[in-house]
Amino acid sequence: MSVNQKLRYLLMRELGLPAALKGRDLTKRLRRKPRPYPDWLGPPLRCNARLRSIMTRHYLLAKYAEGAMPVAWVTSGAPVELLRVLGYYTVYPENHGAVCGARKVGVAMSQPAERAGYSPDLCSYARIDLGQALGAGSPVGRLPTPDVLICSTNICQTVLHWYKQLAWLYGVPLLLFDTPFIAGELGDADVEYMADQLRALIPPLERAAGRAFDEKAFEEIARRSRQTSLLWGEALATMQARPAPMSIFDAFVHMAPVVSLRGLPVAEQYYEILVAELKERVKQGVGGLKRERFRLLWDNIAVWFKVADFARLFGEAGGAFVAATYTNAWAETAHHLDMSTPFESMAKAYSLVVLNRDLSHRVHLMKRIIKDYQIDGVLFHSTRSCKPYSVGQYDIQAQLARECSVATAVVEADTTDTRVYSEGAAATRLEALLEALEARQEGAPPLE
Amino acid sequence: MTSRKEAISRQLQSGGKVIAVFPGRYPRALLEAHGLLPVEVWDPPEGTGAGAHLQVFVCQIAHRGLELVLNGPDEVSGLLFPHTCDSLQNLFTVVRDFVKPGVPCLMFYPPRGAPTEASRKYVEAAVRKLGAELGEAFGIGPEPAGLTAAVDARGEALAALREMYARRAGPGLGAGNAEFYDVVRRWEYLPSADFAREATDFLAADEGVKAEGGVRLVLSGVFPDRGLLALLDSLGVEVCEDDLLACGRRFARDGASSLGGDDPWAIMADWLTGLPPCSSMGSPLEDRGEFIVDLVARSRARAVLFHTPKFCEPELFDHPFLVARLKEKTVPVHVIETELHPPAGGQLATRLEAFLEMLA
Repeated sequence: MSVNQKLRYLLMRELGLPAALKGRDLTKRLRRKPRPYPDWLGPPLRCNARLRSIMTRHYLLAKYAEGAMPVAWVTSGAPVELLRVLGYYTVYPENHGAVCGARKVGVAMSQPAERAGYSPDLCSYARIDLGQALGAGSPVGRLPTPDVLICSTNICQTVLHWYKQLAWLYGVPLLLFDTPFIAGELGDADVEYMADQLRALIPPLERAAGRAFDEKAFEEIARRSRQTSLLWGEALATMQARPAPMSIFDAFVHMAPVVSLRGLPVAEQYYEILVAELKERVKQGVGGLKRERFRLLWDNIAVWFKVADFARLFGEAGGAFVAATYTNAWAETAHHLDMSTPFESMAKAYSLVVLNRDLSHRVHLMKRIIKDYQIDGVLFHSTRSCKPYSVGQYDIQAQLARECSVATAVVEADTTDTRVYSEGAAATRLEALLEALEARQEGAPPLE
Repeated sequence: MTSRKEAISRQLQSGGKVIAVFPGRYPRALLEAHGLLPVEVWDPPEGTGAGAHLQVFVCQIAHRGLELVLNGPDEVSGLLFPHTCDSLQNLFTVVRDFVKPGVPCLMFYPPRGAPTEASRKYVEAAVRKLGAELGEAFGIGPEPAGLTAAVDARGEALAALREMYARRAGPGLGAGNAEFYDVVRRWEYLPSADFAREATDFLAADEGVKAEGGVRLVLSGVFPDRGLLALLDSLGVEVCEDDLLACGRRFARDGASSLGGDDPWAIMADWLTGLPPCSSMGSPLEDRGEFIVDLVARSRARAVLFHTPKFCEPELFDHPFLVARLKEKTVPVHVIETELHPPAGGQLATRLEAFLEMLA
């Protein structure tokens, strides 16, 4: 790593970026034209501005990370604690894919990958990322070139196929953390296999970083990571209140630090503040929606290019999304982390996530959420891009409708690829769900 | 020559049981040692029931496999799902947890990535775990008495298969593609000992090299689609080697002897660890590229044809690299993605004819 680039990175982190962000905020404030605030929405979270600042800083700093520090591209379920110890700057292509989807540039970003022979039937996050590697301009600027890639199969096998391509295109090593699928109970051999792999990751990471692994620092980072995830879980749990102090569409955005900055002080501090604000809203009875009439559970990743539309459609009808299996994924297993057995406990924390377990587990989890969050309806996003999340949803839907007496609907879409989204077909499904919810709420107060 | 139906009937008449095995890698000898006849499920007939469980963007292999389960064939006493991809992973849990076919549903997880010390250790543990589950499900116990014999029988079947491939890649066989793969695919349902015998009989009966002039290709993909094979036969193409998940990726070409010595568990683990690189196992691209380039060289093939069923993510991801690598080696390549069993005429024929003309 170059000393000059390191200095430049530190200067930007400590002085340049804070000043630039302040200037940008000021300009935005001066130029901003007053926009009508939706009358169905509750007051915005104070934390929104802080989150924007943290994530913008993270993306802008990425430009200066290359050459200044080792850069790792990681999957969202990668054991990032090991990387933090060695001072890696981490880039989450999935998070980048979500940003591109939300900015509605997913299809354009995928084009270079599709021209290079990657099928349009492949995961759209992967196509966006490969498109970026092949020259597509990203709305967040160029991502820093990776020195190493870390892939964990706990969310899907797709990430392994995708990261193999990145290893080829960038000519960098791919380090794999293979987490056997849990079709019942996690076995001793599974834990041993994963713990062995975690230990084996350290030497190549040390080599790429040019520094030694510090066990003391690891302990602190793992503690922080655990605490961050638990705080995120606490933030989500506040939505059990009526009215829920934020919606799941807020949570889709506010989950960014637990995904991308887990293990860093900034993420832990952020969630302490967010939890405090959410608890204050609960105490004051301030909801994410002004009038919450029915409560919904979201299953699967967001339809990023439709988040605002879905939020409005349901928000206007008083439908509050108060839980999601997706956002829950970064909170559900952190309690397994135990520094007396760091590698074995990490193996458990990373492999017991919802997508690495059978569908009976998902049904069980969703039933618990339905009960704890007093859910009236479930909306399943069946996405072409994520088979582990989507395949089986029809059966889960039928079982929940039967056993939990909730209204349900499946909408066929994608996380970022607008080409496979049919406005008409989706509208029919969503309207049917709203009608079913209305029918259940006959005794509830009408909307003004 | 024994048909699938006859093999199943014979097994049941002898008091044995049948286990349906979904695509992928698994320790076949272990199932046979438990008195089970593994019958693989790659491309059963189409139906309409699976659409209630699976989305349209899930491959036909999963759809058709589920149709088979939904039709509830009485002769099947269990289902095994090797973990091969995300779709088959979830198909396993859909079947076990929702369809509930009333027979044991088991999963086998082979580790991913390049083989390592940890993965070799794990694969043996996974084989032993499957043994314990089979023992519990079928009442034979985790250490079946016939394990060594089953491992030996599989070894003989492998030797016969290797000989078939060596003859095909070397001097050539008189049999056409459809006939050759009809024999290769019998190991999807025959006991290993019977397969070894039928493969040996096939080789003995083969009349030798066909007339010169046909184009020799390596076929890469998932399984040898009969529609495609018929088309290739009609176009005078000889598939002289393959990198098919169901066929050529199931045995090491060099026949590396087991590192496991006399321990049947270690032998099975070594077999699984030593298989050719595979997209579904997340093998490194370089390894897969090298394997296919080597197949081309040793079989003196003119080109490589990639044929992938629609929505097969592991295969589709690997194509750009493999195409680039083969082009670097000046090996012509053609990629086709189709539904299962495409009609032999039409657009596919036109595309293949154009590719063959380019080779001429």
